[in-house]
Amino acid sequence: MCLICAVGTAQSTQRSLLLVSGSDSQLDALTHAEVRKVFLGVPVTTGQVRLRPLLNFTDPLATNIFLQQVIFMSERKYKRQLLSRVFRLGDQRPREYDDIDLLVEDLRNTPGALTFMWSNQFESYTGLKSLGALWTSSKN
Amino acid sequence: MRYWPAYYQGLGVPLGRLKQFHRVSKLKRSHINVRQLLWPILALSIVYARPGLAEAESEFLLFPFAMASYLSGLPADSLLDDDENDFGLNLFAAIENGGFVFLGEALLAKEEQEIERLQLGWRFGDSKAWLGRFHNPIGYWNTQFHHGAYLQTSITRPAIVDYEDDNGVLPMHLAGLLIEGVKEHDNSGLGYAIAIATGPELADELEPLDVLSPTSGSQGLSLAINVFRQPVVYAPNQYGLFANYTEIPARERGLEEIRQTIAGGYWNWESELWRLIGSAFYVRNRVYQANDDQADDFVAGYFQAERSLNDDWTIFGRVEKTFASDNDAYLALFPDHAREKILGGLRLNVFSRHSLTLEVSSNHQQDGRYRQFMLQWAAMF
Repeated sequence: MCLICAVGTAQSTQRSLLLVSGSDSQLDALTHAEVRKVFLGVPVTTGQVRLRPLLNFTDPLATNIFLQQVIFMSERKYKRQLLSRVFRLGDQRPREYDDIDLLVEDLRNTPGALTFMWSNQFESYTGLKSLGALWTSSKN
Repeated sequence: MRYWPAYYQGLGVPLGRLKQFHRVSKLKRSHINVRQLLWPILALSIVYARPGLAEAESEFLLFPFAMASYLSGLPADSLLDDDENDFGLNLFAAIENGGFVFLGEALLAKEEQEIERLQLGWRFGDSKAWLGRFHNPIGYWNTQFHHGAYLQTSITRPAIVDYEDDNGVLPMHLAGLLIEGVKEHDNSGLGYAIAIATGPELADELEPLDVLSPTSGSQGLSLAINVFRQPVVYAPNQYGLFANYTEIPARERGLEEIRQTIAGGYWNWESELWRLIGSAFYVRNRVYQANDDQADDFVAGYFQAERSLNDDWTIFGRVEKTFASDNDAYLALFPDHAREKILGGLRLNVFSRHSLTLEVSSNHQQDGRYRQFMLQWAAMF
């Protein structure tokens, strides 16, 4: 029984955090620096499309990994930095979502919308497009 | 009524009457009529007139606050009240539509009602050009913290960057053209802000242009520049240099004009637990009278340290000092300006968008010292 458990543990699933947009989006892959810029509230336009960052707060682990690996800030500092841009420059903060279905609906219907989500979440919805992995867990 | 205590005391005006007039002179114009609102309405209409109204995005925020203050050790002839309280609401709005941006900030408080900022901007590349009334881009504090008390860890601002109507000695608000932006290079950022504008006039205090009555005062030229580097672009850490030249009409003070030149540097460094903010100012003023002029200069600086004890509690302390000669002609016009201050405090974040802050300070003015105890509630919605 212990050997089976050990084998099961050794075959842990690799998990990826993906950058995702609607399937109708004309966006190609973005670099980490570009993603960071967009999610820090800096207005970015590609082609004629303004990129719209949507914050996925439905999964705390995904949020923490995104903030650590892409934004390089804690949530508290990140929100303060967003607020600072609003007051200094009149920029807009990304909209926050704690409802995954509403997030996916807005991703599909908003030109230029971007968010991050787990690969298994992405695969469970239609009408979405992956723009690449932001982070991948190590294979055990 | 001119605020000039020695003059009126010499005429035999009782101190209590002088204090009453002192409080009245701090009240801003609160009679905002419909015609005066035409300027912000015009600015808003330019933003909304752009095609694609549905694309307009907006931020509306409210910053209520209430503050109680007790001063002890005041000199007998001081015009400061030994206890003060204030409460009010700071309203902020930013609306963007197709590259045009409207930004407005108004303060409605017991002691003051004023349009603090009113800007119409246009975004081009990574930069923005603004027209309107804005914060003078000198230093770090004046562009990072505005009138929303919740955003600032301490209750008070360093004295060298006090607002004009809080005994401020430098222009904190300009009106004109502001161009600002950040250029990325190898994950770091080089930022700039350039202002060609009008500054304040000196009456009872420095008075910047009233955006709702732009022809009511007399302002002179002000030029400002701020260049800074962000080691990691768009991150909080940054350090920079700034300069400002302002011509300040001062006829209501019996002077011709004051020409002021400012230069300095600043930094903001943060880790997860610590934040260190510092700035140094060199200020040179040439005061022109009918048959004479006098040039004086002074150096001022502040250093503030903040330590987060956890997500809710932050302890902070600040030291500030102005190095000036005792007969500096410009600083003599601002007897309530604190030339030296040391303070400490504690801030508690509650209910996610509220804060309670306690601040205790020792203040040294031109002619005396006093201690101040302050308690503030501030929130954001």
